[in-house]
Amino acid sequence: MKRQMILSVFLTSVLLLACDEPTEQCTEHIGAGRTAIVTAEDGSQVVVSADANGNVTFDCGSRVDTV
Amino acid sequence: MLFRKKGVFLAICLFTSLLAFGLIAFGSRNTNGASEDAEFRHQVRNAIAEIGFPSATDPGTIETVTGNLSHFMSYRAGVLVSDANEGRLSSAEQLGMTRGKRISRADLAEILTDLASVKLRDLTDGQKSHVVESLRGFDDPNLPGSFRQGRDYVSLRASGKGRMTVEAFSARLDSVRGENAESKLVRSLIRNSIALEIGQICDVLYDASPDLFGGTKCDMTALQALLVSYAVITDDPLAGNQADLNSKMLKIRGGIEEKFGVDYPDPQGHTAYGPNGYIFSSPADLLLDGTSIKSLISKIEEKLN
Repeated sequence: MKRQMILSVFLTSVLLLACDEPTEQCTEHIGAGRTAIVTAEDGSQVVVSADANGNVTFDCGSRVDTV
Repeated sequence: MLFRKKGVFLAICLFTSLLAFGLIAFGSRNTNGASEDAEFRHQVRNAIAEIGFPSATDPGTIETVTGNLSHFMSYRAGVLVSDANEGRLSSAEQLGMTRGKRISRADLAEILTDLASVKLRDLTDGQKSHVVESLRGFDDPNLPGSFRQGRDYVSLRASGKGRMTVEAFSARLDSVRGENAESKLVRSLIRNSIALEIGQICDVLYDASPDLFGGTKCDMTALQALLVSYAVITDDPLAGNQADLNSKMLKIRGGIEEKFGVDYPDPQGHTAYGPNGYIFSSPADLLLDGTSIKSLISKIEEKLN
């Protein structure tokens, strides 16, 4: 019973991972305290601010413009 | 033999050229990075100066600084601290100073994990909608179409980390709220994320002002623990005072209008952080409401006792 449950949880996890493949993420150093506009491949835009290390994270293929 | 020597020579030339190019590139980036970092540290010091953390146990000074911190969180993210909570906070600060006790990073991570777990456990549908709406980013009737399209996604952090569609986030929120919020797995995930964020904020504050935490890396007084909690929740990098922040928002607007040739909404009347924040929007009003702040101060007080 326990083995069946473990197997079922494992298979569900594998299935979820296979279906929910995340978009590849890229990072760019823009400098701590700086802000940028990320334009995704579909044309959508968002304002992002650098983290403590000065980096911003975005879907690979997007364009980053510091403002 | 000659061919081999020529090959080695070419390889050495190529290697040294690459090395020189690399050193020049690294050198110039390092110089830029150093000046950027110095400017950032200066901005953080400006922000801390606005609060003016007390070094003495004088009750009058502590009350003034508590008021400063309250104003700081209010103008930046719309977080409101009631008079009663300001009184509790002043007492906790006084208690810690008198006893010579401080809150460690680990203590604060544990306290915030407790608060977050309770919030997630009791999250109503209305509150869930507010969380999702806040994390979709800044909204305004005059938002350009491309930025409106950007609101089809949520970002869990201002840097763009944790970006996903609204539907995916909504489903993930459903999977961790209710009874699941207090499971060991969810608590451990929350705790690890919070501990990482606290660590980053402490590093920033320590780099900017090494004496802030009484010479320690991040042992906080009650007031400092509330400031760090605020920063974790709102993702405010604690850089710049009120005037700096206003000019930063205007600079963002100017930059967008100049680079993309669109009209972008005026920051006037908007906070930089918190719900519908101009720079980064977060549900700070829900996570730092009166009850949560009261509970946070009580837990801090317990640790200081």
